[in-house]
Amino acid sequence: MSTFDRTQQFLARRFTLDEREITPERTLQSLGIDSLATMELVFDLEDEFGITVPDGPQAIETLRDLVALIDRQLALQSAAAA
Amino acid sequence: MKIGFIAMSGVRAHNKALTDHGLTLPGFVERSKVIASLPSLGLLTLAGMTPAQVELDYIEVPDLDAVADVPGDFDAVAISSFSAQIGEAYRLADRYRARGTQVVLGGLHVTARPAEALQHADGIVVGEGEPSWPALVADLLRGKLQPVYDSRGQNFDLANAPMPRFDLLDVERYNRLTVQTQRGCPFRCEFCAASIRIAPTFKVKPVTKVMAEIRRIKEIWPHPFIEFADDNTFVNKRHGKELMRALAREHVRWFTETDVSVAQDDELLQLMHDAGCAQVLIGLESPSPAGLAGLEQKTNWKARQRDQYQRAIDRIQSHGITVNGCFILGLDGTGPESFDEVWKFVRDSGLYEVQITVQTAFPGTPLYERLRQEGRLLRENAWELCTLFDVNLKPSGMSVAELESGFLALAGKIYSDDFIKERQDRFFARRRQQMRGVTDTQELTS
Repeated sequence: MSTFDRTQQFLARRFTLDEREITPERTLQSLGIDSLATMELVFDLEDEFGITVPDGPQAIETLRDLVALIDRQLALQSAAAA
Repeated sequence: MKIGFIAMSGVRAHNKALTDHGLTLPGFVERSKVIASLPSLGLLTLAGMTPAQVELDYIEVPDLDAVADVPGDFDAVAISSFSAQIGEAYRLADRYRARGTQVVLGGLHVTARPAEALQHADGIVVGEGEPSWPALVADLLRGKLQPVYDSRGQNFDLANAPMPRFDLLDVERYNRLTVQTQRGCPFRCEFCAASIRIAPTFKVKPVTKVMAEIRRIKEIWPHPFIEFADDNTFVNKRHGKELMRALAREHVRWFTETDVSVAQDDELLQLMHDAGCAQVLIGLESPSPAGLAGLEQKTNWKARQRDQYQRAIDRIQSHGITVNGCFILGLDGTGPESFDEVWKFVRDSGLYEVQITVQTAFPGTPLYERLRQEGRLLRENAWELCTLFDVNLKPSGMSVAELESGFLALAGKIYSDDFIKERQDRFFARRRQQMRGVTDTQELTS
């Protein structure tokens, strides 16, 4: 399952959303997820994917941004483990 | 019969220096813009109890001077306005009447100054609107509108509240919609010009009613941001908790006004977080005991909470809920030193957001009557100054010029881009540390 599919399913569960409305270009704001909720969501996704996102501001507007962030951290952790 | 529901929606400060300054301080104007851009829940509520046989429309008029003629073609209009824009509302009412359209005025200002409003209306609604509206519409349909519909003393039961006509709104225009969960307030703050002036008895709306309104909003805006149009949402903790438990199932983000007592109830704070609370606005009013003395006229409740302010802010924000702390400059008992006191408190407190206003005497409030008797109103009936940013009274501890210049300087510091970012970064850093399990306050970023 791709990172996007997994994130999509996670968001649908976490926020009781219809998976069909969670598309890559959709902004989190338009799904009712503001900056504060996004920060808390990132922590939940750390647990879900077993990653640690560095502290500091992250430019996360859309679901695509969120998935890119997760993929980046997964790649970094794979490289570090290799 | 076609009725237009007309909301005057563009409150603007008259102090030119402040307005000019505000243009460079987005944080300063943000909250006032939010208030000004909220739809009129009162009008939508009356629309909700208007018989289906009546055609109706909802229109907002942010700037009367930008309107060439009267908007819409109606048999009658119901106009609602803040005090600051009541002059424009009266001019609009006069234009409608000149065209033969019947005009009904109502709301907080009209309830405070019914004789004044009646000079510009064919009928006025004094007190809560719901008890009067069915009879008023029936009279309109019969062609026998009465001059005064006065519901004071009837104490409308919010269990009978109609569903507001949110469907009349173009939701694309709003960044939040309002829902009322209660009316009135058990406190009696001298300056308060909110719903306590039309509903002297504190009362709550049944949670099932509130949730029905939120679900109706979600039909037109699937992921809405809600502002509770309450004076103090959690003054009744039992109702507040019941509301939170129901709200948690709806996945909405929301904002409301309350007081520092929420910080004494961790269960409530957790429920608020889980129900999607993004921010609470709390009237801290002043960091100075002298400024807080006598605000509620008798109980002095806020003065007794002063020592708990910092702990309350920390505890609320530790639950992931941002606090918007509100301060009033020019309170009796405070002088020029109050600007520095507020600045230091804001700087040290970790407040995520801040709102500063000047002490304002609104019509119908005990403060207005006291200052009128003391000869301290700058001008009587100067409603255009009731913006919360313009001075309409002589402060007790400083001159009007000192209040205006001190307020402007304080606004410049509090709403600078750098300080806004510093406050927000500090909040997010602390929250991140908390969520990473750093619970020792010594380790938290100060």
